[in-house]
Amino acid sequence: MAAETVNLGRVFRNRGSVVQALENVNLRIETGQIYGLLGPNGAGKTTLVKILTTLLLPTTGEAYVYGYNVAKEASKIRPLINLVSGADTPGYGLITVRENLWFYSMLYGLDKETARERINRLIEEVGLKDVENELLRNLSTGYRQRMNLARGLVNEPSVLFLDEPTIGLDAVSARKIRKLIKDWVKGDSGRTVILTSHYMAEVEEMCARVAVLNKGRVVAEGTPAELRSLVAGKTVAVMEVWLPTDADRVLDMLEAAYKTHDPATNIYRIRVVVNNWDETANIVEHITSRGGKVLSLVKAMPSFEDVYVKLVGGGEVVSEFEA
Amino acid sequence: MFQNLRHNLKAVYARTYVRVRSQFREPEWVLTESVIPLLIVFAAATLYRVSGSEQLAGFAVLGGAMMAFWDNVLWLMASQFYWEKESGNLDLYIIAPVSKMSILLGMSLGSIINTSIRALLIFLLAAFVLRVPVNIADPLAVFLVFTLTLTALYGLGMLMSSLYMLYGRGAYQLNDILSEPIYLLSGLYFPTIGRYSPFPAIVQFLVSLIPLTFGIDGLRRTIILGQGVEQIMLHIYVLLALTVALIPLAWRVLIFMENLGRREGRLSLRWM
Repeated sequence: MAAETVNLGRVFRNRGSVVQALENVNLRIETGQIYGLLGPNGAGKTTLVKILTTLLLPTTGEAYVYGYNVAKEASKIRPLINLVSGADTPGYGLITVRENLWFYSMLYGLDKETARERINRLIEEVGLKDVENELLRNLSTGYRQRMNLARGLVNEPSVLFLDEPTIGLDAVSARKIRKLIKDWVKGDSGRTVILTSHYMAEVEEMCARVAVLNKGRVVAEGTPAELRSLVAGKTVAVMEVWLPTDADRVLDMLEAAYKTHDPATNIYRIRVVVNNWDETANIVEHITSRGGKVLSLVKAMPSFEDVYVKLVGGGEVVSEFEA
Repeated sequence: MFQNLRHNLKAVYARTYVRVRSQFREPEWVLTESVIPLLIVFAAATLYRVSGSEQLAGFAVLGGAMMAFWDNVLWLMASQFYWEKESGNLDLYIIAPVSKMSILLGMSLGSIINTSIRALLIFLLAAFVLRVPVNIADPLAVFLVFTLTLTALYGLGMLMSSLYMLYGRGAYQLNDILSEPIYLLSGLYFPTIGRYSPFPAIVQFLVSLIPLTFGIDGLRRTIILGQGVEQIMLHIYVLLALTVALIPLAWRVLIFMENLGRREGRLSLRWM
C-alpha cells in the first residue's frame, strides 16, 4: 500500500475564520499506479498532498505512506517520496539546470557517481539536454516544469506526488510532461504517482483510479470507467444559449456546466445531463421563460466531464488539455 | 551515524556551493553592495579625522567593513526562508531527508565566504584611500576574534532564520527595524563598549549581547590598536559563549518552528 488515510480531517484557523479543508477522508492507494485526486479549487486536494508529504499535520484521523504514520514517522517517509508542484518554481536562478539537479541530489545524500549518472539520464529522459548548462532563470515555463519534474525524480522516489503538474503549460509541453510521468510509472512496478488536477481529461487519460473531492470530502472513488458508469444510460444536451441576466442562477438550477462564455455576447455553451431526451423540452422552457434564447441543441454521449459535473455541481469546467 | 553525518555534510556543501556560485555568476553585486557601506565609512571617518581623532577614523573603517556582515545576516539569512517559501524551495527542504540545520549551515558558510570578500574589499579600499594606520601585532588574535565573531553572528542569523520561517512579508519590516538600530548600538559607527563608549554601563551590557559589538571592538583592538590575545580574552570568552548558546538555540527553535508550522499550516500554505 503506497498511501492510506483513515477518517482524515484538517481544519485551518486564520484570524477568527475556520476552514474545514478536509473531512473524514478515507482512501487506500495501491502501489504501481497513477492515482488521481480530482476536484475544483478549494476541494482539499493540495491539503491532502501536503499531509501525505509530511508538510502538514492532520487535525483528525490518520494518514500513512508505506505504512508509516505521517505525524509520527515523517523521517521514515521522507526518503521514499518527492513532490512536484506545478504552481512552484523551485531551484536557484543563478545556477544551471545541471547544478540545480546536483544540488537537490545532495539533499538526498547521493554519492558523486550515482548523482552524475542519474542526472545525465534524467536530463536525457526529460528533454533538458539543450538547456542543461543554461541558468535556471533563463528557462521558459515549459523547461522549468521539466526541470522541476527531473528534480522530483532525482531520488527515485517510491511515491511521487504531483500537484497540478501541467498547470500553466501549453498543450505540447503538457503532453510531454504527461508522457514522461506515464513512462516513469511503467518503468518499475514499485512506483506510484499521486496526481492532483482539475483537468478531467488529464486525470481520465493518466489515472488507474480517481478520487473526486469536493469541499473537503471524497464524493466518489473508483476507476475512470467505474466513475463514468454513474452517468450510464443518460444523455447529454449540448446547447448554445444566450442569457440576458441572472445567468448563474439559471445555470445553477439546471446544474449545467459551461465550457465557454463570451462576456461580450453573453452566449454560453453548456452541457446538461438528462435521463432521457424528452427532458430537453423542459430545459428549453426553463431558459426561454427567463428571457433566454436557445441558439443550438445537440445530443451527445456522456463524458468523464459530465460525471465530474454531476459529482461537484455545475460551474465553469476546464476539460481539455488546452490550459 | 557516520553515513548520516556524510549525508548532512553533502547538504551543507551543496547549499554553500549554490550561494557562492550564484554570487560569482554576478560579481557586480560585490561592487554595488560595497559602495554604500564605503560611503558611510568615508563620511564617518572624515568626520572623526577633521575633529582630530585619527584612531576613531580607523575604527569607522572597521565598522563599515563589518556592516556588510550584519546586512547579510538580515537579508540573506534571516529572511531567506521567506524567499524559499515563495519559490517552493522550503517545502522541498522540509520533505528532504536531511537536517534543516545543514541547510542553514550551508547558507551561513556561503554567506561568510561571499561577505568576507565584500568586507575585505571595503576595508582595503577605505584603509587605502583614508590612509588608516593598521597595526596588527598578533595575527592569531585577529583570526580568533574574526572567526568567533562570525560564528556568533551567523548563529544569530540561523536563529533569526528559524524564527522568521513562518512569517511572510512582515519579516521585511522587522529587518528594517533591526537594521539601523543595530548599526548604532553594536558600534559600527563608533565604539559602544569600553572607554570610548558614550553609553551607561547597563546599555553597554545589553549591547554586548549582540555578537557584532564585542566582535567589532575586538577587531579594532587587534587591527588598529595592536593588542594581542591576552588583552582580548574577555572578547574571546563572550563571543565563544554567544556561539555556544546561539547555534544550539537556533537548532531547537528550527525544530520547534517546523513542528509549529506543520501543526498550524503556516509552513507551506502561502495564504496563511
